Amino acid sequence: MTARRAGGAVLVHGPMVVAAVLVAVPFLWLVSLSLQEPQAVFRFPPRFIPERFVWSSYPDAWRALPFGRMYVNSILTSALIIGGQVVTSCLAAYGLTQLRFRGRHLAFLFIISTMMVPIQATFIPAYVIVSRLGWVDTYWALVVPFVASGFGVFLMRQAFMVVPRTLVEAARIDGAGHWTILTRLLVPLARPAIITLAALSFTFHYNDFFWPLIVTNSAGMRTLPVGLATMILTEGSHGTQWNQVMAADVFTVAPLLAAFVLLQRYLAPTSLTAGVK
Amino acid sequence: MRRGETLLGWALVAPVLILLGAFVVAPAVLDFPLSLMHYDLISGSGRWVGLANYATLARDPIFWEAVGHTLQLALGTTVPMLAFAVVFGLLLNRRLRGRAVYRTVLFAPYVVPLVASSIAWIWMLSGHGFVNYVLGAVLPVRDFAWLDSSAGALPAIMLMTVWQFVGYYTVLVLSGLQNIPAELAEAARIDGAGEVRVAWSIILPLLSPTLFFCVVVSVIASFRVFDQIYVMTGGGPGTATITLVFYLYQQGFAFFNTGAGASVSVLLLVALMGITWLQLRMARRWVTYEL
Repeated sequence: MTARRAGGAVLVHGPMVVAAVLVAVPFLWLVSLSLQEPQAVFRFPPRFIPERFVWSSYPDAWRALPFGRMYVNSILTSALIIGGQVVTSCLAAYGLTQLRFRGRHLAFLFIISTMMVPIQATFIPAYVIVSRLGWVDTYWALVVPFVASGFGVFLMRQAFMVVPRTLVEAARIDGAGHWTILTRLLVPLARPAIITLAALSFTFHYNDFFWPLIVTNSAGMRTLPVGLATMILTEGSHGTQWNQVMAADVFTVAPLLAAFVLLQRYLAPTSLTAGVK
Repeated sequence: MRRGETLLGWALVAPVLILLGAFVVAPAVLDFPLSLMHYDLISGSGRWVGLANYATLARDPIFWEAVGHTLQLALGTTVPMLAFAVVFGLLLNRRLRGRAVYRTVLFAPYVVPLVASSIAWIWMLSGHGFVNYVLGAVLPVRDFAWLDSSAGALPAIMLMTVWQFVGYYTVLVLSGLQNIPAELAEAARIDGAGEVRVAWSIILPLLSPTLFFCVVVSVIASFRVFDQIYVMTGGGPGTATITLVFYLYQQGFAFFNTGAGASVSVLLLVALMGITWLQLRMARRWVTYEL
């Protein structure tokens, strides 16, 4: 029996360890190559532990492009989008769940139908709209189109609907107005849903590439993914400095992975949240 | 009171309605007229050309290549990704030491930008990269630069895409597995069924709603692939990895054929909204929801 159980453990852990190692491999090599000579990428067989640690690739990469500014751009625009989505979604969800008004089903249908639209298919007209507004290469273009989210409204509506009506009634009898009920009762109870919305929205918008690529054109307005891409696609006079590219990649990815480990339970996909990205 | 509530209700949903209207619905609708025009992005002027953009598209062999690559990508990512996700899900769906660690590691690639992982994979798939280092043990692949080969580039993109998203689908499968009552598998085991038989005859049929859902999500996602193509191959070598969205990007933003780009957008909109609609209809018929 014990032998059989030990055999079972090997059968389960064996493939899972292999899978986990294979998934981790690109990240591990990223770190390794960022600390080696630029030519290390051409060496075969590849060497994992650097012969000589080249720490300077990090400060060099940081100076190669305005990465400080791009960090600020990425974090600031993601934060503004998240803040906007949480506020607009909570307001709409309050209206949809706590108020009875004519046309609210139609409004909800309109909002959730936007979740079906493949966003890339809207970029050409969206670009025309944004350029007519004079927003190309500004924060406006990076933020405003995403401040409302059909998915956000959907998620917050679900979260508000499970709050017992009696609780809301009790608050109302105690003299609470709409604003108090929303901010003191519903929002605190819906905290897990809000964190889920914020976490999903952050991974999506911090990582977003296509839209920032087309609506920005000056180095100072680039977000991190766009900056990284330009780093490898525009070779300098000495060719691509691969150790610097890898270093820049590491400092783009590291904060995300750290945040992910802390927040992962809010990010687990379910049939409700799948397909948002 | 009633009237006040109506006014307040509309005021509360107005910001969302206006923003989604202006930046999602209006662009989706505007694709249609734009696809019937020659439109100049810079001057903002256009003229009607009827179906000329669609005719050009139908005659462009690169467009058909893009369609073909996109379908290959859908098949070549969805099948292996879901096979792995089911295996990992079945292995992890038990009380297991280190389960949370496996889940975290498998899911991690999902949260990093595709641009960042593409850069790691450019090296992984280069002639001197890790993929050849491993495969070299059994196959004569030394110095084979996957991304520079018209036969190797698309499979390489598939491999990278599976790596990025397999953990995501594993977690989806796991949540599906956790909704299956344990007694059913237990009863089959008592009747003498082995683990493989239990998985095949009891668990998989009950998992079919989740799997169906995963297939749809993955097919839709592969129709939208762009970032890894842009960074890893730029659609090349030649046209070997041009996908629909990459073609759309080239037409709209590299060649400034706004009308042609809009007509690709229309096809993408119709195809993907069609798939979603089919999913909603077919989910009922195909899938075992209960015993």
